[in-house]
Amino acid sequence: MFAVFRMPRAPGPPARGVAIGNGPMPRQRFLKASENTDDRSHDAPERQPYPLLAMSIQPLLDRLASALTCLTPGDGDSLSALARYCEEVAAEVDLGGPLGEPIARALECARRLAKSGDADPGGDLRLLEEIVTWAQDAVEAMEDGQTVAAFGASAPAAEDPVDMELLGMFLDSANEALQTIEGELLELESDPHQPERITEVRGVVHTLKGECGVIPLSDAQSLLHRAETALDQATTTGNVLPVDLFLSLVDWMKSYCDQLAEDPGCAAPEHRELRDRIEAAAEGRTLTPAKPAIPAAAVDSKASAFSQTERVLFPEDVLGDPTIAEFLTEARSHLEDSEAALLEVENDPENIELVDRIFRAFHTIKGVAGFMNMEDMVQLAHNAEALLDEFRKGRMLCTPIHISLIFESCDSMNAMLDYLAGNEAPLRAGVYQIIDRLEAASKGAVDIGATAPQAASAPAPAQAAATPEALPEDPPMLGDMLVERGLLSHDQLEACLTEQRQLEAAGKPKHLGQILNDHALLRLDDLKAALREQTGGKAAEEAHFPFAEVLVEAGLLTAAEVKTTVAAPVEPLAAGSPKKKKARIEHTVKVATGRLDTLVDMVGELVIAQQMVSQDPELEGIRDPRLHRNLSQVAKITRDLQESAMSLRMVTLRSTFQKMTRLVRDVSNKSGKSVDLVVAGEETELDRNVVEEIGDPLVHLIRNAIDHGLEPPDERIDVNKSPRGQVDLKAYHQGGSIVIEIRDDGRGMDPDRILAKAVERGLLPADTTRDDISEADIHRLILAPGFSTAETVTDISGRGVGMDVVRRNIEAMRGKIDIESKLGQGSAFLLKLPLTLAIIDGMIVRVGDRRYVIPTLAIEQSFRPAPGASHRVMNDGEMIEVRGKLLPIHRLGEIFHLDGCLESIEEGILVVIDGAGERACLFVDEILGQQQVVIKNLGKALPQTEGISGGAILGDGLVALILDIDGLLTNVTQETIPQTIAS
Amino acid sequence: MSQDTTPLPVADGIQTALSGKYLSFLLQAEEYGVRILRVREIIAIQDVTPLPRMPEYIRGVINLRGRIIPIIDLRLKLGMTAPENTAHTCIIVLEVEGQSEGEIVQIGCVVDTVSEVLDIAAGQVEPPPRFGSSIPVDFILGLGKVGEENQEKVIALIDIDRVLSQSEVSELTREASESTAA
Repeated sequence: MFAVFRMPRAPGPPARGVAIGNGPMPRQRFLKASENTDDRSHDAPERQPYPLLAMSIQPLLDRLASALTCLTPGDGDSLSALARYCEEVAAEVDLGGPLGEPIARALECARRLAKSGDADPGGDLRLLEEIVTWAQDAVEAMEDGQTVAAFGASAPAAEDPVDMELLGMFLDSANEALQTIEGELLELESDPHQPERITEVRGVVHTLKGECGVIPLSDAQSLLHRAETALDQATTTGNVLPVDLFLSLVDWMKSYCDQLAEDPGCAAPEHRELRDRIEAAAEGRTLTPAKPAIPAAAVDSKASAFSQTERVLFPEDVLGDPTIAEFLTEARSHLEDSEAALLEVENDPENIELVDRIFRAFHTIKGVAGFMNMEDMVQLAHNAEALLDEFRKGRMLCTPIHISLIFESCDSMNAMLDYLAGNEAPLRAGVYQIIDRLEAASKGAVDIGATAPQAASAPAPAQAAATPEALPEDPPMLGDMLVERGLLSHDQLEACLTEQRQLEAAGKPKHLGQILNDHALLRLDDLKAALREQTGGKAAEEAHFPFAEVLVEAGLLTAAEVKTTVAAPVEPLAAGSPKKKKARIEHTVKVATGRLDTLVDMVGELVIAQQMVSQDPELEGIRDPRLHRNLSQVAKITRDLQESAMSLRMVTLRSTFQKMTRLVRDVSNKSGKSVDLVVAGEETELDRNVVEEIGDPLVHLIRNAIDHGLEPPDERIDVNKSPRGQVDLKAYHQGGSIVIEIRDDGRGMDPDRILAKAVERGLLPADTTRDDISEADIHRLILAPGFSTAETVTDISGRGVGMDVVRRNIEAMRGKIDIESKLGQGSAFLLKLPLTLAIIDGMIVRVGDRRYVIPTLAIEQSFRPAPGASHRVMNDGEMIEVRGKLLPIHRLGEIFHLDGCLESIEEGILVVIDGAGERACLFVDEILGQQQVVIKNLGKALPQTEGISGGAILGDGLVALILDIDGLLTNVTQETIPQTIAS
Repeated sequence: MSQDTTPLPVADGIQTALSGKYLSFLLQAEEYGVRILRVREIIAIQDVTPLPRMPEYIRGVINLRGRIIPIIDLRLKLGMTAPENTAHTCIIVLEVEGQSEGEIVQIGCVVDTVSEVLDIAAGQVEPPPRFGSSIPVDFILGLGKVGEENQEKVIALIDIDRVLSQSEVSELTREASESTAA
């Protein structure tokens, strides 16, 4: 099990495409009237002022509305149908009446649309939609005897109430899609000649467009549609893709999505210019319908073009594609849903809503299959869609024959999905036979039923392998057959096959049957029966099927391969029975993050409870081995549970790093420096909370690296550097924490300049010289608030706010920043972050009768001082020399005003801590041990406690406080700590 | 119970609002009441981990089944002398409003002993007395009169949210002046 987590951006379960396909009807408003006609017909007529008008217009309006809903932009046919419907409506309407004027406008729009074919000049489509919605409301209002609001007045209010749930899902998936597009675009920019990437982008854009249509976001839809055309243009002409343009489209979509998340009803941001630019990019295309991915349906039968054995074949890379699993799950649920809908349609053939559901299922599958280049699947989905469209548009009535045909399509589709999942591919002829029939049906053929029996007699794709007809060309392997029948286990088969190959190599070839017989793994009768079946009825004795031959004939090995196998004797087992390439299916469940956090919290409590039990002093006295064994079993399970609960929250840095790739591109363009970003370790997993927090600091650091770190190209050439700057972004594990490294090969930091600036700003005494302060300390100065050495404040950076933000964010995560820099060679920022925010490694120390936890990350070393090693200054400040440096000693007992702590330094332990940019020694009585502790909030009812970052529940159930080293040191150095904050 | 005193019409609203069930407890022989709905549980006094550099009335924190909750000494909070722990000393775990809207946080209050759950009717409530500014009474919702005719007792019904959210500054200054006086 693997869970995908994401923060829902809008209400609604964060499921993806599934819901887009089979969710609630998106434009319920349009169809509302038809749903309600039933009850209206009972009671309405008596009190209707315009009953006749309403009765005659309503169905026409509804049809127009549903045509609008299902409209594919750019599809000439559906546009002209739209105009036709519109005319019909107009013919019924009294042009002098309240409906007259708007309907006339609508007719104009529809005609314009039909004429222009593809483009949507001046938002005609939108206007048309508005009018139709309004007209539906108006007719309804008339029926109820209410007055009709004028079109203009009601138009904004009549806007569809956006389905919040649907929108939530859309935003969720759109976000992901945009990220994919962005990533691909960036790849494309570095190497424009990758048609497969363009196809990928196109696929995602297409899906996104479809989803926009469902919401509906017509502006976005039309923009994306244009983008798609532009992409096609790039593919067909081989032109370089205008990456910038598409990135601005992505940005536009992102900002639109953000706005939608805030205000579901908001209008699309300004996009006229963008639209024009995309249109310009798409310019020059031949005026073909914008569906080049789907070959036009040929009239002649395609099924006959395939032999009885040819199987559906999908591109190799598709089978290995990790996203296949997601597609499979999605497609299967679509099919399931459409089958359910089909059953309902059987009873209610005129229910357009149901047909729509099935239509969308096939449409979605078609979209995904299209960009994965699964031609057969696309073809099937396309034809099914075409047929369904006929029903949907009311041109044809769905008969039981049609329904069973669509059922067969579902089956065939399922068989192909099974193939994707690693099963045998269905026969191509079978699939295409259905495709042909679908096509015939959608062309109005009524005798499709006649061909159905023929279809039934043709081998059902999934079982084809087992039927006798298929045998001559495709003899199944004996071993596989036996395994299938449950007579032999996989391992046994593998072992025998290896043996067979060894024997073959040794020049004593044997049949598999013989080997099995030798090992007495099978009863001879079973073996014979299986062999008989394998050879198609011939007696086993007569059959001469050396194993290698069988393999060759089955097409699993070529003759050459057999020879090499013979020549190169013992090979690992796997080669014996060639494994089919399977798409690994990882089932995922999307879980709300809140629930997950609760789980992690509760596991944390379980760990504590378990420790309390196992460390209970009462247990010491019990010498029962069984109890202790059980206890340690519980301990182990608890630990495992904790580990897996924690891993649930881990996410990779991939998307964060991807954002940085984008950032580098933008910043380098803006600053006029060409930059190579080298990313490594984006697989590294971190707690979701950390990943969420790390974005801002990274943005600052990378901006700084490019803007301040890297020199302009000419300056780089002067110092014998490549004109292209390089920024490394790396993530890796280091001793229980994660390090994210941002390294540039720029000019590095000039310690003198920083020092001068620090003195100027009063951060250091005026007489500070380079000898007084270490280089590392100088580097740390740049983390001070408001510190900037930049001479000019640029658009990108230089205000000196950035590094302070970085420091605070990182410290809030209990992380650390290390800075390395060499003048002229570049700088590196190393962010050391905890793997998770919920648990820390801590050293438990005792002071007096109290215990405290010091985060291990802050500890450099600990030691027992030699007598007389510490010095006193002015009879107060104590210090000690540690590795050649004098460090101040802080007594924890004194800081916290505890009673009964040790007085003499020599008797206790000094812990060298590093925090807030300085090192110091903390004097404690004793070190009790080191362990991982779950960080607990001290309770929101308390004021912020300085020097304490939280509490940890120790094994005995008591609370130990976790020290906040930075806060502690800052405090200690600033003042002597009073008894209470009060005095 | 005697209901002989007809409540003033003006005060009626407050009194009705204050009627209900209260958990009463003792602090230095004085009886206080807190709304039963705010009480989550009552636990025996246990080892409290003190927090450094906190006002004296914050005793520290305890582990309540895996959750860390702060412990307040109500005696100190209300300006009485620090108590000795006895066998009766216990902690009332209360749910109070957090800083942010709608947030509920748990907090433990050390009291000398809990006595009983009282049902206080509207007629038994009187508005809080005024002693002038020297004695802060704004956290007292009202006074409940319970018991039989001749052994009637008065219970101060306290507003626990008010007690805990009372401006730290005034609290701290008061404490500071006390400690200097001592």
